[in-house]
Amino acid sequence: VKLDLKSQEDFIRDIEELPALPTTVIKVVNLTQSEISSAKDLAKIIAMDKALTASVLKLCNSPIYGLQRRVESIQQAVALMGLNTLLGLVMTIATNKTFRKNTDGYLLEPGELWRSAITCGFLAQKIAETVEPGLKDIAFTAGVIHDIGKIICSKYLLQDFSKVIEMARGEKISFNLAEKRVMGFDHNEIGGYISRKWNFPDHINACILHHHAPANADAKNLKIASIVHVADMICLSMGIGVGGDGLFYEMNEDAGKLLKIDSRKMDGLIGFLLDSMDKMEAFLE
Amino acid sequence: MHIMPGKVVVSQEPSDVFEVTGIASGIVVVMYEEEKKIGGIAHLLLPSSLPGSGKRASMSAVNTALPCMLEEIKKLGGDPRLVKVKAVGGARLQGASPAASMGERIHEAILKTLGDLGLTLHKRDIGEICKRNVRFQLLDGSLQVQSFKKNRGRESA
Repeated sequence: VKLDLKSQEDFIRDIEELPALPTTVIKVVNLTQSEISSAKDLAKIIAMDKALTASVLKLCNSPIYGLQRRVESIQQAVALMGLNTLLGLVMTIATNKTFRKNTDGYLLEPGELWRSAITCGFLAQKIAETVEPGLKDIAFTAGVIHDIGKIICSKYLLQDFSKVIEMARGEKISFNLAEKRVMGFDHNEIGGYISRKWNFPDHINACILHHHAPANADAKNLKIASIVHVADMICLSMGIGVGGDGLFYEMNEDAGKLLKIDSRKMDGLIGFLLDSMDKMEAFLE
Repeated sequence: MHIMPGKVVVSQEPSDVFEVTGIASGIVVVMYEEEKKIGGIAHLLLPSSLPGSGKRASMSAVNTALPCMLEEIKKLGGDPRLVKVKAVGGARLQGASPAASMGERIHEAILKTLGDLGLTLHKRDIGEICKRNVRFQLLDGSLQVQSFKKNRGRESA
């Protein structure tokens, strides 16, 4: 399907109209791209923004992290939780408002996209802990942000939803593939545009673009894209983030094999998520 | 009252109405003792309980939640022989084979556990690729099911 020029112009304009990330967050994101970033640099940047500092400390002190003592400063948070965990928290805080925009096109209840973003983030982190612990912080951030394209795609689905769901059902294809065929673009691609606009790191970009088809990610991002894909599919199966697109998404079996997740392990992950739900409250407020 | 996974609720209050929204591969089970009008409901997401799991995961497991629900009904004076059971949910992802789906594993566990408890499933709306919402009224034990099977999705069963 050839992309309709008007639609293309419209959605590019919509992406351009998304608010820029706050200066502090841009500095933090840029820091992640730098090879010489240090915990001290991060602490200094965050501490300059009082609102961000308060939000970061609130999340650090939420029960999900189970810290023995209260974190009172960013320096202390960096020391206790590490640079990458804090980077994930900053990006979560920065995208919160965007994720709470109207998602009527997907027939999602208000706040449901954010709830699914947070639960997917924690589940992706849990999967990474067992598969490749070095990826756990990246997995959290990517799990939170992967569906950001739905914010803009939702507007276009308001008029095309019936065609998209009919095609997904009739041709037995994934909803995102039907989005692509009907509208000329899907929520992954739009998410990719947003990710580039906000200068997100390459691995986050790969997870946004390929979270429904992780095999399309390049070799260095295959595992992290697979982690986010599996986390996303488990959340959907549990009914988290399920809108009008329902369960019209395919679980990629190769991703499950790569991560060695069988039905027993999947039950363990669901159990983890269920028992963690109350502890996530600070992230959902 | 909105029922979240991990909560088994049993009541004899006729004005109680229980709702579960966004049911995907999980299965909502309701029990109703018609004579004394005692009802119970749970949203189940695991076929069996996991070692070391917390309360929410434990009460989302078929083999823990269903015996607990029946026991609470008995405590309120309900007769297990008069209990009718209905189940809704167990949807599968696009492309997943029914046999391998999470919903089917939970469905099988429900049938087995009900058998162990001497109960049978009276009515079910299980499987397919759709999310569902349910509304359970204790006044008459009715269970309304909203299945999102059509284009903008709202139909009642």
